[in-house]
Amino acid sequence: MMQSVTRRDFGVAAGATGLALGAAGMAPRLLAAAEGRVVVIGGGPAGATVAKYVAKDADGALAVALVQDTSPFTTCFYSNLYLAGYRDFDSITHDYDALREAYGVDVIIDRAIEVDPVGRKVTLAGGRVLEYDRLVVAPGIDILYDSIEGYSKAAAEAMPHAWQAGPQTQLLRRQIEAMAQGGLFLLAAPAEPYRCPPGPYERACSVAHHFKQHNPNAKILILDAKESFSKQGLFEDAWAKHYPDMIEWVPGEFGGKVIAVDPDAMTVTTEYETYRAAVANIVPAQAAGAIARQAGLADDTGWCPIMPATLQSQMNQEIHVLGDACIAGDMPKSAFSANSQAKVCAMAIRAALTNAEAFPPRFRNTCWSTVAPDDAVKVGATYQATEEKIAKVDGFISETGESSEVRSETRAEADAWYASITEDVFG
Amino acid sequence: MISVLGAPLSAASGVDLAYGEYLASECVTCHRASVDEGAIPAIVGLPTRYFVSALRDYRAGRRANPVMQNVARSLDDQQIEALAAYFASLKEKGPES
Repeated sequence: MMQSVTRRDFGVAAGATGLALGAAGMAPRLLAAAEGRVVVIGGGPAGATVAKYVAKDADGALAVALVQDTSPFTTCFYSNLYLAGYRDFDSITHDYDALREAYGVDVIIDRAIEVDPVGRKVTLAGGRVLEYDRLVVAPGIDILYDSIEGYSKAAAEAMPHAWQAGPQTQLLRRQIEAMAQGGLFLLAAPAEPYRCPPGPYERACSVAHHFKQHNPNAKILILDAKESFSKQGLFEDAWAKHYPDMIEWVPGEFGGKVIAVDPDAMTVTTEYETYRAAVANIVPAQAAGAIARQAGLADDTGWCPIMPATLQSQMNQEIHVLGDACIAGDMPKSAFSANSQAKVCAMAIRAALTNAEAFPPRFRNTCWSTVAPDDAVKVGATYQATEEKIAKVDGFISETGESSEVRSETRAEADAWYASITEDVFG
Repeated sequence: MISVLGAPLSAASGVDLAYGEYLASECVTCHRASVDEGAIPAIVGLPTRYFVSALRDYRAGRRANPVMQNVARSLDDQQIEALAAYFASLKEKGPES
């Protein structure tokens, strides 16, 4: 039986038998047979990060397969900047070449359709079956079309959600560009929890930026299922400053909750009123990606409870759930959170399957929101794993009335962060 | 001789490079390893003494930027030294390491 071989031990062994290895012409990595198999479902900021970090740090000791249904991957974070016209689509789209070539991750473009937690196997739509010692489930969100009467996957072709980046985002951009002068842009925002809490309000800024230049009499109406929202004071301040009289927000208690849509008539109905929209951006309630729910990893909320220190599923300790699909306590559903959780998860997996050291978990998040071409705000926090949840320790938020210099720096910082995190995830 | 700026702390002071590498995974979400992206500076290869004093200044609120103040408040002296040693060690190996 093969003994566990760490990177350092192997280096010694290879040195001792260097001549033989040289003669055989074998790469050391090939000799260090993988001690364990890690399968990751989902190639977003959670899944791609965990695949990369496990592969990088295990250095051949673990075989890592990443199952992702589409490639290349367009990030939902920063897709609002594409909608505003600040970024082109290619700049928010990333491939998996580096994961394959630099880190040796087996990136499989296919869809996971079944998890067998007893046999420890994942079946793919294309017929392949992957065996695992540890499974990471990071499928992101599913849109709950049924949560709004009349909404469906087909209806989303007329009334896009654009809350999973890709063709939906491009469709919404085309609709914004083609909108009649003076039309109504309607944005339906969901109740918590959902992906990217400040996202709908940043999106209003993005669309308003386009209208300010090309359609100055257009209006934006946000119909919200909630009574308040992330960075509310900062956003309301930005709306008044940059887009006066263009954006109106209706909270749930004043009839903001959308209960039905009619994509043929382009109408949106709340408890009190029916609106006719030129463009309707419907962001419904969400749940953990289907594979997580099918695998029995979700609770009644539709999201997946985890053990805070390791991101192991509370339903099955050989499976980790991270990113938007998991219940991450005080952490918001964001790319930054997903990337942070992935590093903790990668360390936990290496400690479980190899003799790698496990350090105390650390979590953090920062969310930048771009409110105008040269104006951005941010919110962030550090978190720690407690018995019950990932709990917030200490945080900050931008202040209203900050100088234009500070806001300009924050805006530049956001772009630098995007370049960096996408390199950390995909590069 | 007393070590000069940029000299590795690791061997002499027993600072744990592996711990520094783990802690550093938090930094590289925003600080790119290879490129100085302007608004968020590169920190690879920074002299350890500079690194340590910058983090302590953020922690004490003597240096501005709410993100870095928030990060620094979550780090004790030992963690800051581990990070400083790790990022300084990358310079020795070169940017491709």
